[in-house]
Amino acid sequence: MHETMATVIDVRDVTVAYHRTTAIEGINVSFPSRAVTGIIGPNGAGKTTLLHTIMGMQPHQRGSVTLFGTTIRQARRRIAYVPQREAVDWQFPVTVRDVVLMGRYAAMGYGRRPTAADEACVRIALAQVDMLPFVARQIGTLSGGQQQRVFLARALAQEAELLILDEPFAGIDAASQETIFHLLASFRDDGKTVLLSTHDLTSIRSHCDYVLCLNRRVIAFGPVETTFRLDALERTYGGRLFHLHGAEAVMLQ
Amino acid sequence: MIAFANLWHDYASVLHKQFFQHALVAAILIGILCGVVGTYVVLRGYAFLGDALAHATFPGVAIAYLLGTSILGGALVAGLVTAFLIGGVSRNRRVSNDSAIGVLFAGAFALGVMLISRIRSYRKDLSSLLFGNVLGVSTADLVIICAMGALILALVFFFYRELLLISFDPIYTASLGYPAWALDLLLLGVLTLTIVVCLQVVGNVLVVAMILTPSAAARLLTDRVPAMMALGAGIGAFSAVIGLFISYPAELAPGATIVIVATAIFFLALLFSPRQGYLTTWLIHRRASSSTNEQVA
Repeated sequence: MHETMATVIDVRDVTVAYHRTTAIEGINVSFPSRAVTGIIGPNGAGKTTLLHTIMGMQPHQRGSVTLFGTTIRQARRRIAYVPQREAVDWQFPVTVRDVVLMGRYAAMGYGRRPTAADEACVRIALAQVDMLPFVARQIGTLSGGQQQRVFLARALAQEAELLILDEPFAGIDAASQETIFHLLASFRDDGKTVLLSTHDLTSIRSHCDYVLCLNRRVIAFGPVETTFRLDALERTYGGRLFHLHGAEAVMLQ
Repeated sequence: MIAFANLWHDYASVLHKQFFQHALVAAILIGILCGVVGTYVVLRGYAFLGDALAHATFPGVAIAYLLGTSILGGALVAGLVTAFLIGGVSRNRRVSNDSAIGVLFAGAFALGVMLISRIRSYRKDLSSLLFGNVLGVSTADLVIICAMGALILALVFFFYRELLLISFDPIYTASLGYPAWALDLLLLGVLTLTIVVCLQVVGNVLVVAMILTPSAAARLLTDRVPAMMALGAGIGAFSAVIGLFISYPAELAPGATIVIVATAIFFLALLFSPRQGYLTTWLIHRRASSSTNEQVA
């Protein structure tokens, strides 16, 4: 097998149900390391559920998840998670620095004050996302794209090997999206791994190496060149794709 | 002028009395404590849960009162049991809902009132339990307030970052491997301890206002958590002192007066907060529109 094909996340036969409705069913995927993998699918397809299950935050009824060849408990320090931007109250009285410092909490441990090394790590992460000038700003004063970059900086401050991002491009401007993708690509080029969910089909071809088409089950999974095709998208989105993304879908074919 | 001189004379004489000194110290300590703990209650959105917790301590207070044992002890047991119940219930997303909590704690409160009503001197006892009796704080009470206050502040400062994290972003907290439910339980536990300490000063009904209002006012005045804690503590202590000094000569209920002072400060902050006050923003808009009108003219 090719060197870049080593597996970092192995999802085996995973099923998650809330009450009586099944969110995802019989998921089998091996996410390759040193790659940017995009997860696409309609609303309610189970993208967030799958990411939460991988992070060990969502109990699953069946199957198993292996990360770096071990359990999430053992591997957690090697993984950084970026939740959806809408999940928090951006009026919360903290600064950009305070939020990014949260990425250092797990390394700092209980009852410890941040060291000079932690503060340096925060500044480096902010510089990487071009947000250093905003270090002292209250987070509610930032634009959506800037908020997303702060969330990314917080994950970078964890110095992880695997980045998992839930809808990082929801409601942000094109420039911020480019900055983030550029950063994710350099993260991959450093030998690290990126897994993200997105609604933005147009960016899959230009920015992702692998794609997972998800609609409660795995519809298709593989390298973008061979997998991101009209028939897979049709099966993922049903007829809706033609109404919403008809022109794009034809273009992609 | 004569009235003022009389008032001054009243204050001068009452300040020498031990019961008033005790009341003053207790009220200031509790004001500080409430401002600090209230900051997390405001940020985590636990106002409703706090109210429920306060009501749920009442049967414990009532039973302890009937048995003639420590009221603080009774409130503490009832409060901690409830905090654990809420913590357990909210872990299970299916059961957690506002109505269930509301129904349960209104019921608990009614149970407390029912138990107290068995005593012959029920009206007087009930009113001191419901509305507090700050002028009856003993030296032993002060020692308990100080000890529990120190414990609460130690917990809050030791877990400052973790409590901040869970209040801001519970999903990220879980992704870092923190036991999110345990941090929530810690916050509920700290809140319960605070409620119990405050019972004697403001009583069962108003204790949540005492915890919440100074921090809510502070929230309007600052964009930083440490500043919010300091301001909340300041507003809490200030309200306590002013409330006591207003209520004593006017023979008003001290706990209620303290809460009214804090509420007045909250409304002042709502109007005059430099960045988000209603009056401030209105003035800024008016100035902006009048200057554009001048340019047009």
